[in-house]
Amino acid sequence: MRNNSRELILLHHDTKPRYTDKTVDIMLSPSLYTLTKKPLEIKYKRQAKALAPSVLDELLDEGEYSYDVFKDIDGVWVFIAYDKSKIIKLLDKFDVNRVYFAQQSFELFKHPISLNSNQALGLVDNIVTTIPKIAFGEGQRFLSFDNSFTPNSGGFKLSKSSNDFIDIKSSIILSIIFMIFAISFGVEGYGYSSTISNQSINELLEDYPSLQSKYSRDSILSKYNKIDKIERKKREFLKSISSIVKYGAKLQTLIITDKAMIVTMSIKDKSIYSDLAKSIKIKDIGNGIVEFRESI
Amino acid sequence: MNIEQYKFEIVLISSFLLMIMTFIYKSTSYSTMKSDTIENKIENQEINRVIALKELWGDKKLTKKVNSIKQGVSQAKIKEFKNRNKKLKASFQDLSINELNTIIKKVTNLAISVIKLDIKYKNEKYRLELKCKW
Repeated sequence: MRNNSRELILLHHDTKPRYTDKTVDIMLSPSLYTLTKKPLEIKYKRQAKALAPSVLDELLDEGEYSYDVFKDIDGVWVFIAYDKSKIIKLLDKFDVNRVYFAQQSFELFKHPISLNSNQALGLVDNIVTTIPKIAFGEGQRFLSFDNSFTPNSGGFKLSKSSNDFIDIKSSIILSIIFMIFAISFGVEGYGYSSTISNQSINELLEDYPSLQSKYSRDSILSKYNKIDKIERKKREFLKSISSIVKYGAKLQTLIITDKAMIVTMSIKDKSIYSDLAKSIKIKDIGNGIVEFRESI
Repeated sequence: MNIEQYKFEIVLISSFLLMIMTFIYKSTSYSTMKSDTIENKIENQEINRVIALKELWGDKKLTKKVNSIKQGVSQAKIKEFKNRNKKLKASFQDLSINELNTIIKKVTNLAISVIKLDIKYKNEKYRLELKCKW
């Protein structure tokens, strides 16, 4: 048996155990589980566990059951069904480490163990069973239950949650996965927020401190944009005149003011005029003079 | 309610909520970074444009550069050339077409505002009046 200093409490369906604030192990009396033995040719525990509901089906009343399986010393599979909610109700406020079945230590029940004034636990066909004390002969000695009944292995961890939606192992694994994602999202998010940099703008503004304020930038921009637009237009106009001159026209007058740009040119050859009229909007003002005008 | 009873569920839900929150943080940081990058780019372009315009149209050496307009033109053809207070008033006469072209080219290559440009052709020669500021 396991050398265990943790207190092992024998739990019976109609007996409230004595409360302790220490962590305890629990051994269930047969009143809290249903058991059957089947000599099945199954190798693995998980296969046996998968079969447990169908094996125990006929023995169980309506209700929600959890299942456990183990092999006894003869290599026969022991199938157990238990109602977890019933056990949780009895163990309210207890800090439970592990829960075992009395059958797991069946060899220690060769000598009957007293449950209460009327009942005892004993062996019937190597199965731990609740037996009325009256069935034993007078003078029968009953042994007391202690920590030495703690089995070496098996049993189950008792999750006191009201449902079996997720077991402890899965919840721990999922929590770890969620935490890993959380950390990676956090790191990624921090990376994004720290890459926001105004470095190039700051360098520019260091060289041009007068442009620090958006207001002054807008004001400079609107002032020079206007100049740039008008002056470019004037230069484009002058450029287009030189292209007309290339056609053989002769510049007569040119006036550029703040409102308009007007040019007059003399053209000797009428064919030049018709060529020009195709590409530029010009006006014939007579005597071989054409006018080209644009507003600013 | 005994909280101890639900400790694993609480840890699971907390870690899930933490994951959701960090995901929201990541998404928000990403979109902020995106929009800030675009804003920075626009601001950068705007500042560069302001600098370029200022350097072009606000060139402090223009007063000197403007004098180059009369270079290559004989003094007899320069009727007036006043370069004062960032303003130029110039008048040329008896210019050949080549001289006129040279002057116009120089004017258009300088970042100055042409207030008035008046060219007249008479007796095979050109007369030019020019008013500029910068």
